[in-house]
Amino acid sequence: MDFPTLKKATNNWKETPNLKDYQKTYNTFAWETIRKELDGLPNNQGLNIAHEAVDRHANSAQATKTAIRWIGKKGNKRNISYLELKAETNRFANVLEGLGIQKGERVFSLAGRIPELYIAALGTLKNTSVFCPLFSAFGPEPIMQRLGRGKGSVLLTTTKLFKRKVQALLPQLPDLKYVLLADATEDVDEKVLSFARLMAAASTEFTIPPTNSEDSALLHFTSGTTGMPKGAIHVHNAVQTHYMTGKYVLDFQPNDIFWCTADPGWVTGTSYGIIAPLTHGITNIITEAEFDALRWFETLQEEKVNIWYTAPTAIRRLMRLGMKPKDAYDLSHLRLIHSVGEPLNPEAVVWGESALGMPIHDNWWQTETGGIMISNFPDVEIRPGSMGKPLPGIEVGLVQVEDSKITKVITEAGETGELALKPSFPSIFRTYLNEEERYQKCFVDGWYLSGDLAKRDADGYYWFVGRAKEIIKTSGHMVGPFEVESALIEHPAVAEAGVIGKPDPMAGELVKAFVSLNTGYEWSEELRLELMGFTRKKLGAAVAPKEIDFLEDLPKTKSGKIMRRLLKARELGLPEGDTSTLEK
Amino acid sequence: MKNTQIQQTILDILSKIAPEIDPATVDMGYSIQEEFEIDSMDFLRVVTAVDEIFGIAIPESDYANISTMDDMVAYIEEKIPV
Repeated sequence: MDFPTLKKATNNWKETPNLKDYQKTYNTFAWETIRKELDGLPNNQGLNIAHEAVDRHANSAQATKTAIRWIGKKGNKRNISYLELKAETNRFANVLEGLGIQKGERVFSLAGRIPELYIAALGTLKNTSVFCPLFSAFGPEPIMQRLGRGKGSVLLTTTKLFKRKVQALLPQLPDLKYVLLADATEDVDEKVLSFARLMAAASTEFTIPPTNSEDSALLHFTSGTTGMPKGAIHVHNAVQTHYMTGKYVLDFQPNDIFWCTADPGWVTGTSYGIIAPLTHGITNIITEAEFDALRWFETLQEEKVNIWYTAPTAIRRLMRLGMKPKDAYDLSHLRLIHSVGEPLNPEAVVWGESALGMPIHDNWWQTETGGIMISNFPDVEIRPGSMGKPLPGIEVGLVQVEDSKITKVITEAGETGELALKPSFPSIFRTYLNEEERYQKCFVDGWYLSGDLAKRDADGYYWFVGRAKEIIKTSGHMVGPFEVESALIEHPAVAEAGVIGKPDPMAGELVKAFVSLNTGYEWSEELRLELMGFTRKKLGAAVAPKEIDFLEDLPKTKSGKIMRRLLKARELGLPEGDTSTLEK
Repeated sequence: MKNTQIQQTILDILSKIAPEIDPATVDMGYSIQEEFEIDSMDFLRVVTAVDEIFGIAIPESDYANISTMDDMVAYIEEKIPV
């Protein structure tokens, strides 16, 4: 079914959008202009994300404005003004300095959305250390992989998560110097310390040291199809993209209240759940609780949210309510809704208009790009199902690649190619940590290759077609099949494992595994459950397979590589395509 | 149906989704998601199975009222046809 274009009423804006003329802004855009809208450190000492997000507002007339409104699981609230946020993040920077944590060392977090996480993130940036958030639903194996590969020096977590998931890993993490427990009042030993005690003893005064805009700031792990997760490094200069996309995509106005529902364990929850709104000096809502349909609408109503950034899985759950929230709740403050994580189906875009009073704007970007690259905009008509148009300052192309060479840059409308970006914007990742070769492979003939396939229509709108790689997207989160397969084959019964993304109406895809067994083992329901439990214990619910099936033999290439593509085609009853390399 | 039977049925469902969790270690007055370490997609599967087994339809808007085992048992007890 084709969905008609959604026109925008340009004469009754609640606020005039920052981006009024897309084409003109795109054509005349210069990053220098954005840089000038940021402060830079005093006395030309460089550019530091935390200064732009916190200190420059704390030092201004709006120091007492609420920077973060945190809503706990039980509905309890904590307002943190820019002035308080400056003092708290200064304290944490002093804590790190006191512990001897140097510039460039990695500070990890493994926690739910608690205030300490946000303070630690920004305090780490002030100390010019590198912040790396981990999703709290990860099991010990993904935590170990990321903390170990990232050579984390400090981990902020909670007592419960530490005991359940981290304590047993400590002997295998020689680089980890300190664990800070957000909820402990006393130190446990010389290594496991109380966050509160350290903070109470630390000064609220801190001067951010000179920071080169190319200094590392953030480390985000993302999953690949081969090998273990890759650690994408972003630098302080990325704040230009955070700020620019906040201005043009999320359309931040000075008095806005913004709610990004993403967890900082994923890049959206850091770029947009922490940094972008604060660089604009607006109020950022943070909710600790997990998804709850009615409570979410209550939050939109009670907090008078103006701009809302959420994800397709959540939107599809809200659609299931079968209600018109705009009639049941006062959503009159809401001005703009955005979605990211996976392509938003056109039904959901249109549902927004009828049920929430405005369409939902889809956008596209990746961990590696650090910020939104292609988007729908407040003042540009929406073609439901399209990811929109490139951001100002972002050059997007569709290319065909063969043998690591670009064979064609597509100019024709409607032709499919791999989505590629000219890597000349501030937030493009600077390396995969300790994997320079893997990093270099992402760039061919001056283009960054995204791994996503797309086409462009005659009017410049981009449409997602599929993924060039076998990466799994479940509830908007990337899961690397290799990481799951590696966990499965550690079980003595499993000979081989192949993992695919099985389409699911709610989650987009579910992680599904196929296994073959070693001699002496027989497939049974008991073994299936044992493998489910085994992988859940290792990987956690966010990564472990939801379904495991047995196959006598997994389809492999002649060189012995498991053909996940074929597993998926068979699972879905689709044509098997080219099987010339299949081992007979 | 007795409360204990309802609870056992839910535990049976959960034992297929989170088979490594020993129900004896679980606090029935706490969040099922946290106690069984399941994500929201898993929780959706639990609710779908409950719908099928007990022949009731739990709307998304009631999910907040069934977040703990005790709440879910009480909810089902009230809803199942006598």
